[in-house]
Amino acid sequence: MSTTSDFSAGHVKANGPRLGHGYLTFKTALILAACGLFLISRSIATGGRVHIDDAAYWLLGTLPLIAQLGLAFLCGRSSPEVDKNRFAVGLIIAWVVTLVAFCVTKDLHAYEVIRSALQGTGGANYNLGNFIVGGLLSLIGAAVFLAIFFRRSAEKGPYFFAFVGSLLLNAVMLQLLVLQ
Amino acid sequence: MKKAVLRVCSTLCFVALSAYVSIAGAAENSCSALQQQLKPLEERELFYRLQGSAWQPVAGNVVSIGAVPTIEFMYVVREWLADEQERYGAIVIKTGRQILPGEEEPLPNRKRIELERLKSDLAECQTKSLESFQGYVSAQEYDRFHDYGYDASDTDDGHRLTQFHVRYKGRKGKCDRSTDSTSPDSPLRWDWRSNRSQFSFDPKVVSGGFRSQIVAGLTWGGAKAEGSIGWADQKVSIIKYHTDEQKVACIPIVLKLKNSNLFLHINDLEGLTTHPRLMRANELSLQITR
Repeated sequence: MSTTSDFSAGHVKANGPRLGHGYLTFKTALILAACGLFLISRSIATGGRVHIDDAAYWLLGTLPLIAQLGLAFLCGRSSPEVDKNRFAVGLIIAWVVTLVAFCVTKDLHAYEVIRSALQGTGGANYNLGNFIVGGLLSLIGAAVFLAIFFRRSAEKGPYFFAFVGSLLLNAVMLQLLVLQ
Repeated sequence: MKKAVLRVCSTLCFVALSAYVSIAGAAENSCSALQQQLKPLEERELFYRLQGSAWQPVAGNVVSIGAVPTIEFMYVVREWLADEQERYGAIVIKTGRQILPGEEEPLPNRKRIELERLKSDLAECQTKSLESFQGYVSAQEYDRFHDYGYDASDTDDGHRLTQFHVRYKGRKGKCDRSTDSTSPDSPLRWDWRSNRSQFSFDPKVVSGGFRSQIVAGLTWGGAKAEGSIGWADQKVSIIKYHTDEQKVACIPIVLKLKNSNLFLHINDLEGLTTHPRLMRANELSLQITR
């Protein structure tokens, strides 16, 4: 069974991930991608003052991953059927998708269009506008997480809890770690 | 006290040295000065005169002025869309000079760019446009904002950039921002230019849109302030206009010249062209040599 299909099955412990070479490579690549995307997002948010050779930001990029592990642990405690390892990978994917959405919307300047619309019509100030747009981007990531896991899972509760948790956590991290 | 006096003196010296170009544009219609022209005035036409001589159209993209200290230009806006009876808009005027051989170029965070927005009666979109604005920002902040489309930083330079940019009344009376980083329909038509990118000193950004922020993040050393490299004494002005009953507006520009190898770039934020389709008009670029 391929790594992807094994992962996307979103199963419970009994069908948990096989920690083979492919799966480890996938996880390593995912962590590197998350750290790299964090660095690029930070570069965009700081007007290009952060760049690929800033080692400190590669390290700082692991903080959100630790937060995702914490959320996976919390969700795992709510049900013995939940595979925390797979859950953590799913939450990191949600974070990666959020960062990709941030980078792409910023680079295409769609981010500013949405924020300007919120500021113009919604009366939101700059920071609130950023937070709302960040929330929308986090929603994309959390929706991907839900799409991967929710349909095939027998017990829906922990996944819905993780969806809400991921949405809030990623929105806050985007605001505090990337945009500030 | 001594420090304060020193600071004031150094600021005055800096202003005196850098103000080699003064742009005396205004939004009022000055087309009567061009009445002796034999043919009708055209959109994006530029006239010049030296020391009170007759107005003559600029032919090509180089004007040789000899030793005169001042040159006057008249930029013509003519609405050519049949279904529009008038046109509101704003033009961006960028001036500066090439760094001379052997002259040391300041670092981008030390080089200053002058910003100027003239007082205007066309204050339909916000009260700020009634006021004039004059200030300086670092080339680094200016280029990051206009070359890459980054948000203005939370510094004095960033705040000055935000104060400088303005909302203006555009086509069909719609209020636009001079800093809009996107043009509503252009990306869908594969035209990545925007109002903000038209303020760049980098011709590639003006003609093709912002540089990529993602690529800048992946670049060793980060985003470079490239637009201003090779230029000095840069100045940027925003002038709003409104066409008259003949659908024409003429905008006077006066340059006081203290150096050679100057450039003048004029960019109409509401200018349109039909080549190859109905889209944003290109920047008008002019070299001024002695």
